[in-house]
Amino acid sequence: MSTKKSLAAAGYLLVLALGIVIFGFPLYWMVRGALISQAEWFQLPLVWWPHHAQLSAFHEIFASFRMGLVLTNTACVALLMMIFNVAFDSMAGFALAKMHAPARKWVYLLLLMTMMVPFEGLMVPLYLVVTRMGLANTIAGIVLPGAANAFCIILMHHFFASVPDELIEAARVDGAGWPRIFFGIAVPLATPAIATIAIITFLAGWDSFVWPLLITDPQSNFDVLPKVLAEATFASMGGAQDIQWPWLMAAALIATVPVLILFALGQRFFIEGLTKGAVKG
Amino acid sequence: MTLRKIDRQEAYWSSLFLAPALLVILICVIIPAVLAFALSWTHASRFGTVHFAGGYNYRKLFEDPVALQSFFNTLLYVVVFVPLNIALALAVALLLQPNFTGMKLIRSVYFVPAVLSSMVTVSIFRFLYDARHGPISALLETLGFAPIAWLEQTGYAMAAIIGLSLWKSIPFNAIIFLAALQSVPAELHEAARIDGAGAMRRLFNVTVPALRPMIGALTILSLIGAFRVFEPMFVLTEGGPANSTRSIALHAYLVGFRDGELGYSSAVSFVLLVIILVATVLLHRMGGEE
Repeated sequence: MSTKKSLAAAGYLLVLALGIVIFGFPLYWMVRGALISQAEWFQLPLVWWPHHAQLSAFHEIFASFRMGLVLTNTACVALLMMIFNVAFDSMAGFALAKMHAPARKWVYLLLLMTMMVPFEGLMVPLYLVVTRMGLANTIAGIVLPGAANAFCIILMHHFFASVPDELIEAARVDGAGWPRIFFGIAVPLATPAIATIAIITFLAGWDSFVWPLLITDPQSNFDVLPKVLAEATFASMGGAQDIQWPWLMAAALIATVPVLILFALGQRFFIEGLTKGAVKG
Repeated sequence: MTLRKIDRQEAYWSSLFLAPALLVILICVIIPAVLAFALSWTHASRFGTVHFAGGYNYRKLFEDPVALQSFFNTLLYVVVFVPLNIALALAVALLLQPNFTGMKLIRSVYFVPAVLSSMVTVSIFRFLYDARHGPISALLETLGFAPIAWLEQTGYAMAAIIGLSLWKSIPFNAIIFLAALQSVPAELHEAARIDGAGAMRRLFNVTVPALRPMIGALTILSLIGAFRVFEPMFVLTEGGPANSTRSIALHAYLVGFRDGELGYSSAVSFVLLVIILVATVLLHRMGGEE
């Protein structure tokens, strides 16, 4: 019995360790790739461990590449997307959950349908619309399609639906108008849900590259980090010799750090939100 | 104050609250969707000429071998990716369920891919899959096999892309499963154990039924995502080699943006949209009321 048990425990630990390698190794490979030189990248047999670790790739991308500008753009896009979503999605969610909005059943159905629409399938017409609005090559053009999110509206709707009606009735009897009810009662109660959508939408903004790639020119002043990474990765696939592999991995690492910090700080909200959203959405 | 006045105020404010979000959705989803539908019946090109084309684009879709292959590729991706994604995510969640010192750290290693940006993931895997300087090839060589150019050989490119997607997606779903596992009552497990049910029976008779709504929801989300697959192919293979990784979404993009056939591209997009709607509804029906 006890040998059987310890055998099972050993098997469990083995599988657990295997998982650590599978999920951890690519991350290690990114760090390693950022710390070695281009020459070491091309050495055979492979340099598995960076014996001569150096930070020159980080210095170089800031010195000889417009990394500062690109990072500022990326942060702007992510922050704007977060702010718009927090404002728009919570207002819409509240109206759907607690107010007799006109045709709200239809609006809700529309939102559910919207969640299924593949953005990738609508890129061409969306490009035509946004270009026609004169927003090509602007931050506004990058942010617009991500400024509201059906999934997050539904998440907020579920949250506000759980707020007792009596609270709102009482405030209305006291003569409070809707803006005061929303900002004074609903929003303070909804802080955890708002934190959730803030994290989700910040990450989405920080992540996006397909749309920025379409709506801004190559080498534009509105380049964002994932777009630059995509272009460099793509070029390196084509065998471009001037692509510095360590730069690519250093940029990838820079893109990852804020995400990890945000995840560590907001893990609870992130997981709660996703769990609720997945079941009810 | 009359009741009617209050109601009017409520209608006014609720419309105002809904307006910004709905405006964004109108501009960025509804108008493009309607436009895609309208363009799909025309010979619209990038150069601004629009001629009515009847069902030409839809007929072309079924006669274009590249389009048919992209449908086949997408289906292959969906059929392999979705079940593996859900089953392995559940397995990972079960693996990470026990609590002991150090487990928190181990969990965070497993979960990092879930929050990593998708472009960073694609970049890393581009180097992992490298035929000459990639660790996977090096490992194969040490084991005595020939190195594989994962992204450049027809048989392997799709497998490589599915592997990348699974690496990114399993942790995301495992986080959700792990949270859901906490809500499975421990008494149920205890009762089953006392009745003499082994670990496997407890898994399939206690855990899986308790997680059923979650499994259903994640399967639908994963399915929708899989039909839309675009990014890894777009950056790593451009649908190659020999169109073996060209997905429907990528096909729509390439014929629209590269070849400038907006009408045809819109038809492809529209068919993709319909496929996703139908698949979602079917799966919803299969899963019961949830």
